Amino acid sequence: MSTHSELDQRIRAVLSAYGRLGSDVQSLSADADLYQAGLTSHASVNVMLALEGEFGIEFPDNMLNRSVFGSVGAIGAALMELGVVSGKP
Amino acid sequence: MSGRLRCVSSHRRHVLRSGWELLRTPPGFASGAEALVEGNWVPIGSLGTVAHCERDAGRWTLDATGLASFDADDWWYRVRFDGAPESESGEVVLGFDGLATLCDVWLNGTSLLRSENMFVAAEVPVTGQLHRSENELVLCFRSLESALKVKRPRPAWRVPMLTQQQLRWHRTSLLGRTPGWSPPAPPVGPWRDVWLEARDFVSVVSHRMHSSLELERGAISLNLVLRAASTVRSVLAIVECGEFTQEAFLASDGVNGWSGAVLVDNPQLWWPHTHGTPTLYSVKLRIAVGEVDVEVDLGKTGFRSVEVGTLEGDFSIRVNKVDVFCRGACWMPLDPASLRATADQMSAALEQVCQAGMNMIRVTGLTTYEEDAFYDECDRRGVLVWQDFMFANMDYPLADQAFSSSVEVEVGQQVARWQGRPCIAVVCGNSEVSQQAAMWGASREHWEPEFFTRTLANWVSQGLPGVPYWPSSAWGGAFPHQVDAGTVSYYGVGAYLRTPEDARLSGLRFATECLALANVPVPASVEALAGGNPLRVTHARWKERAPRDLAAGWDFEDVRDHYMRHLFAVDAARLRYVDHDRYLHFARATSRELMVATFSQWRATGSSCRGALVLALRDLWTGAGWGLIDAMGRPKSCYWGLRQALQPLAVLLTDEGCNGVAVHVTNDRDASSRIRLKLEVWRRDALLALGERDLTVSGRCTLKLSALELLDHFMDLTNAYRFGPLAHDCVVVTAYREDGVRVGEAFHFPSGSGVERLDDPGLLAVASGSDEKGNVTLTVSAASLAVAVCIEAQGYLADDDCFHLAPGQKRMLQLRPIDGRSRMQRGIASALNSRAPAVISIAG
Repeated sequence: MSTHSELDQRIRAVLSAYGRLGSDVQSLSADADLYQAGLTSHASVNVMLALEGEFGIEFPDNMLNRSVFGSVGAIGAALMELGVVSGKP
Repeated sequence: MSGRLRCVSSHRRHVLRSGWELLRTPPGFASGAEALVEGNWVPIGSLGTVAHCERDAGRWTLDATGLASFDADDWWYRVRFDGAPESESGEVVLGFDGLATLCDVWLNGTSLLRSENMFVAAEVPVTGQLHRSENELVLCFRSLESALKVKRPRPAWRVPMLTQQQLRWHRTSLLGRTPGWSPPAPPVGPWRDVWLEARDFVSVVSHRMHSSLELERGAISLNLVLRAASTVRSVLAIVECGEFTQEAFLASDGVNGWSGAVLVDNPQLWWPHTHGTPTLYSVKLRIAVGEVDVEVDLGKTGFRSVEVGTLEGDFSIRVNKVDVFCRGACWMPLDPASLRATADQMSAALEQVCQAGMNMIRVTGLTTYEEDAFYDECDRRGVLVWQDFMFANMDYPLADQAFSSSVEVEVGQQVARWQGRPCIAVVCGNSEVSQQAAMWGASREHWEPEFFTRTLANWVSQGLPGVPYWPSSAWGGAFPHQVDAGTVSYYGVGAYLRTPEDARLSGLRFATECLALANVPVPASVEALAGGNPLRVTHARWKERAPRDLAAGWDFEDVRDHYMRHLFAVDAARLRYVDHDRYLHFARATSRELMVATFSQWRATGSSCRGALVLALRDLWTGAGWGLIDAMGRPKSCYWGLRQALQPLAVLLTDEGCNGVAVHVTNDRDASSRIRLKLEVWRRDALLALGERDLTVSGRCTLKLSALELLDHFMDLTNAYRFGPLAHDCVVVTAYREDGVRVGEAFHFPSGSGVERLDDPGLLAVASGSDEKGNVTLTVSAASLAVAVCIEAQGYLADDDCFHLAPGQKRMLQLRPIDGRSRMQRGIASALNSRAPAVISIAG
């Protein structure tokens, strides 16, 4: 059983609001393919913008690709690469 | 502010046009002029944008590559000038009609002005601040690239045509900043006049002018606020039109305000030129102040009403209670480098518009507000204007106080310039903002920003009573870019590669932009591209100027090639391999045929479409751009095609499948027209069928008849039934006036017919001697059908391109010399369906 960290929860909240996924975001595992779950490239742009707003960061151009938004875990790893620390607001 | 003020007799304006110097520094190099090095200033010929100055000095052209963008650096302008001799009763003002975009201004070392909106004009009183001589004015235009690096909140949606999404924060034009379709010459610097004006006796602080029509009485209402050192005793308004003159004194409010109206009984109305005469009335004021009379010229106005009908998704424009089919194009500045044009150039450009039968021009939010000379020409010639505010596609930060205050000033000034102008038919909030939000995937609440639906609408209704306002160029329906409701950017025929029939199947109501094909210019212009004739469409230099959507894997030449295949059953890629010249000939014919077929459907009887504006009127730089006319002002094949289809009295053919060919005769004018319609069905040089009918087309009407009504036996003119092999090559319908003059012509080719290289269609081209202007008359004829005839004569431009010739038909064209050459030495006429071109024989 994994407890979702605060970072993870915030990512999932953004996905719920902007991802327009067919399935319930909470039930997805950390490495579930979001595109399989219904994430379109259109929606991924809104997710990206919302993540930037939520975490006060800016995705550089070389991180604006499918793999970064491929799963909850991938998003988390990208955010941490950009300096967001897990568990902190 | 200048608004409609053309001239005040007691004001002396000196435009600071010459004596300027220019300096480029790295961004942020110096905060003020004192830090600059003396020696690096270079003299400027005449004041203008950086692009204009650099081009003038020979340091830059549109062909230059690898240079830094003008937006990368700070640009300094400096001039030394004498003070105006002042009088006791006057003021002295420094005016800046346009500064692009982030500009600091110093006068004699003191900070005078900070401007951050390219579209806002500034006037600064400098009475008493000027020396008699050697005043120094310094302007610094700060690097926009640097300003764009400042971190700001991201937009809710992205705009694919821009590499810089944060341009939304800056009030500046998108021209030169859209690498897919505009040349790399972003406007930087003083793009309008800088002037010094001494204003004696009286100043007009503000003015409002509005002409209205109530039943049969016209009224020109005027409201002024004046400022004068001595008492203003009276203000007389004088309205004139030809022999007619009417005067009225304005009433004072006891303080500074004067208002009143000049009434004109049964005024002559202003009409778009396709529907009537664009009658104008001049408005002047005579202000008696102190011991003198001061004359003020407020320009010209006209009496007309404009309404937009929007019942059930419709979008139809009615002028003077008459439905007008609006047709024309989206304006592009005549010189993208300087963004200026002389009155003569403006006149010539609008003349081309009128000659083509176009009656509306759209000034799009992608470009700039035009100069007064543009609106003067549209008023004078009867060309309607669809005027966007300079907002396009982006998520503008309208909640930002500084931004919206600046916009309010901008809007107020532009609206003041348009007041009383009969050409202004629709004022529109923006270009494609709602559409972009929706297409990008933003949710519905982003599609209708209150600023464009409410705020701007209110400002416009206050400043321009009676002029319809529309929130966005693509608006109406369940989503902004829904085609069969409201207005739309229609690219079904075009980028979305739908069949030509989609023009009517889509149920289009009004296209504020459409078609956008990569139109190949005439051979003489292709030669002018660096590399000249040997330049191939695959060459980087050609491709650089062919429009593209940055995010797409195709460009607009692919779109044109798709339709080339559809219309002519030709493999575009293969043809390009083996015969590039023939490929270009097909390309030009494609643009023309597709546009004629599209507009024929839109203008036909029963069409849902009430108007369409082609993107664009003119190319910004020489190449296969969207323009109907190339960057050198030369019409392309599609311009000539539209000229045939858009005249006030026109014959149009539509393919109705199993219903045969429909003939539509349209008459925009008030008076009815008696015409003779002639229908011919040809195969090779054999006339298979002939029919004639005399008709009266009532004013403001379209008539529709089936081609078969003119024949006494059935023919499968559209090749819909296919009872046997294709029996004919084409159908030609011609309309003649009672005096025998031909007033309209249209060709129809049955579906499934390609363009085969037949035996020589027997093209004959004979050139007469030249007249005193050097023009040559060319007579062209063909023994059998000649498809898409093109004339190439060294040093000359023909006034038609890619036109068809029916067997035995004779056409007379004018060939105009490009550069004053007085003798034509050689030329050829070629048709798509001829093996070899015909050499022009030169008589006399």
